Amino acid sequence: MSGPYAKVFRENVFTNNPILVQVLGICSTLAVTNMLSNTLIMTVGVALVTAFSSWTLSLINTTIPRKVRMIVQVLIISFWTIIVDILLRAYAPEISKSLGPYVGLIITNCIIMGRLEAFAQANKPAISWWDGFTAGLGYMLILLALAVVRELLGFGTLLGFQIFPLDFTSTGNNWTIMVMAPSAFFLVAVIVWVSKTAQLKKSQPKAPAPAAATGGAK
Amino acid sequence: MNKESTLYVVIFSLIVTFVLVLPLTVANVLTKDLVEQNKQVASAVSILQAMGLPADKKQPKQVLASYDGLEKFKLDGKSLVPVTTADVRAAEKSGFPIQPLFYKTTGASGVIWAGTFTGPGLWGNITLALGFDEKIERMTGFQAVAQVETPGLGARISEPWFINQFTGQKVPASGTVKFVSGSGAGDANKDNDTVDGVTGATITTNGTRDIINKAIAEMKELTAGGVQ
Repeated sequence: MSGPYAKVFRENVFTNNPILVQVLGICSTLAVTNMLSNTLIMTVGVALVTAFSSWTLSLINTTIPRKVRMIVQVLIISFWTIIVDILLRAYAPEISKSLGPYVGLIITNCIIMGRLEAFAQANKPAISWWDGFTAGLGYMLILLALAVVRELLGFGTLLGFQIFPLDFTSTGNNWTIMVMAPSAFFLVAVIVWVSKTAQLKKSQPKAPAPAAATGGAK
Repeated sequence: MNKESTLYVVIFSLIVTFVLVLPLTVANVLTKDLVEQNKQVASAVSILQAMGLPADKKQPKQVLASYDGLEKFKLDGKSLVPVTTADVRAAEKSGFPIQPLFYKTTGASGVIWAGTFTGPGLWGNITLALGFDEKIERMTGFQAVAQVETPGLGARISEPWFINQFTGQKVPASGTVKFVSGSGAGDANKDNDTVDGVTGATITTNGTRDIINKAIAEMKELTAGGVQ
């Protein structure tokens, strides 16, 4: 892949992932990753709100006075979040109920404001939409990975289907810490650690290592 | 015009706010009736299911018709006074819904009572719809109408394994149902005095227990006095 769209995709999903590298949006990472179904809907919401907020802002970015820049950004994010909320309440009341206050909390997700400030402020609408969407995608991938681990170990289920027996993690009970927010701290730290190590290894110049190359048992 | 001048900032802010708020208002007005109907259907389904009656969320008209068929009562001092569905809807519309509201139906298995009961949970109030048989000797059902408990922990009071424990559960002679820590699959024995609580959600479990036991006492008192 090449071109600006591919570059934006690569950066937002891999090399500059909002969670792994920028460490943004951590509150919702801790709060909504214990059930895969809720995580999926919430992250789709975030991706769409980020995409359309970026698009809206880039449409008017040359007309915004510097003094009210942030206020206008928050206004745009709130607009799209409330639209998502209204649509869910009217056409998917069950999902709206199970997400509860988390839909409204999309407004406070730092990733959205971060992308508006860093990208949409200075770019064209189409690529800004793509930037917001892929940033949401990067966020979604990490959260889904966390949710799979937490739901499996916490409840023994995936998307509500029983995968492991009820007493899989401890006798007669589930592994409660996996259901509670602190477990996400540990899991996020492990994922950041692994990805950082991998990135560092990749970026280090390959030193000539004749000893390793010849190898062999000593 | 200078982009940083006060006049521009004021006019720009006004226009942006207007342009963004207008579609929100329109969307809100357009979906208002649908949202209201969703709410009515959700609450009717909870009551019907708590009474052990069939209620399919996908058939909103049928659900609302069954709900209309229930006898409804409001509390007047210590006795129950009948109200009509129109009274209930009118009160909802005015913003001051009738609370508490009790329901009664006479089916093949005899008289069933139900009501909604509210009490404190961990993060906010929990509202439950609870159903009982004529003499308040067995529960006919349990539904969490409204709760904002921790997803995955306290919010599990809305899961089938927890709800199903109460269908047919005996009301103990002492009048208090005990919550114990169980296997996580629910207590299948309907004739003992206990049900399983939610592990890791002590405050929600205790809140739910207190609402149920208070409801049992209240229903016993109200139905013993007869209906006006």
